[in-house]
Amino acid sequence: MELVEEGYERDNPEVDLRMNLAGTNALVRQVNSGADAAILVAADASFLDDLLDPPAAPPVPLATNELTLAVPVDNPAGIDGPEDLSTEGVLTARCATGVPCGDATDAYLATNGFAISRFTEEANVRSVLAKVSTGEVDAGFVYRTDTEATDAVVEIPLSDAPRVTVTMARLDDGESTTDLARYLRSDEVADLFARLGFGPVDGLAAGGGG
Amino acid sequence: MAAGVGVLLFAIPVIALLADAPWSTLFTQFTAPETLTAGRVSVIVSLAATALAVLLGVPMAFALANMDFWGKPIVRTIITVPLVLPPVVTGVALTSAFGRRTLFGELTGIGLTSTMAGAVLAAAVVATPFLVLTVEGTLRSTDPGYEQLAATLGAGPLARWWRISLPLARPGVLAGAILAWARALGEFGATITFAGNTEGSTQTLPLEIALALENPDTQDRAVAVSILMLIVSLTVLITLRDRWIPRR
Repeated sequence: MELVEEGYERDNPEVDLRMNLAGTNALVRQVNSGADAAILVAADASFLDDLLDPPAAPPVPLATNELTLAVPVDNPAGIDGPEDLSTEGVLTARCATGVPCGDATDAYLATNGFAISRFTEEANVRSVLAKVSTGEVDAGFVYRTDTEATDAVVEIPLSDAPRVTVTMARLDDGESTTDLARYLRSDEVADLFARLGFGPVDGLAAGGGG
Repeated sequence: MAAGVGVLLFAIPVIALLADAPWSTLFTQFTAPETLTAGRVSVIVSLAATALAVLLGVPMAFALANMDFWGKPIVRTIITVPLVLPPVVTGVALTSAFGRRTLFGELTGIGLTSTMAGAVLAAAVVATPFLVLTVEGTLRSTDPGYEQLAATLGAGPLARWWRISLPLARPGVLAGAILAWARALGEFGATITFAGNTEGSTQTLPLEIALALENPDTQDRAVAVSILMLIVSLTVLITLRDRWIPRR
């Protein structure tokens, strides 16, 4: 999102885009308590249902992401796949139930019948990634894009990994918001998402253009 | 006038929290398994952290109050740092110092993440400065005459410390311990950053609250547990204050 901000401000020097970066739940909570935001980008579409006031326009999917398993570069516990997480003594980090990456993790574990022996529950995916990259845990459930963003972790792809849809919701219908929303749907941002490892949205080109 | 505004500033959020309470399900929330487990962890961790704070903090306070040594201002500043730093930063610093990938971690083979020892260490580091400053303040305001008198009567340094200085410092130690306990009970940032959030070992009540707040389905529990913490801490603070700290 920092790259989005840079790109938009480069094209619109008169605008100082202010970003509030946090986990989806924290953002939804802030908006519900009256935070003055123009656009909310959520890690998964389903979490927009928690908004108390409906968005000003139907939410627009921007890209998709996939749950994956990350291990520290030297993989001290020798994790080869999710089945190793039930081994005694293996410590896993995961998002808590109720946040997008946590619900995806729950779904994945339930569908595939995997158990994890000992785990720490984090409030957002960045803290999971931090715990893995510092080697404080043996493995962690994060998004594909998180593993691509750093050299400090190695990705162990999951088969049948749950996907989430990064979705934008407009919270007001002002002109500047329209302009920003158009930018978020531009090819430039779509390319940016693709470069960061996000997948395209099914059925429609991710960069549909405003 | 300003005092009244001050009281309101503290009272209004408490009242607002009570107004938000899910009163009908409050008791069910208090006795939910997650709450009971987190409550047990909170009790153990906060008491252990307080014990550690007393063991380490009282000697430090005596050294700072009574001894002259080179670098004393620096030492005092270092001890005070956790008061100023965001607890998350303290957590990061603890990870850099005692994490699995540090010299400490490699030598001992101990990973403190997701262990109760890690939670105790995090809470103790954040809480100890309160004790040190309180005890040091008490020591500075005690009359050195008693100790000098004991010395002229032939009491050795250890006997003087044990029989004279420590008893005189008692109110300060108790007040400091209560403050440290209160801080340890409310500890969040350093704990979640350094020790993680594992049910039954590092998930204390504040961590449970933060986690419950993330999930729209459990937000009622977050408010309920907040009220539980409020009740527990107020009860303890009011009872102990009256019993241990003499009224003037």
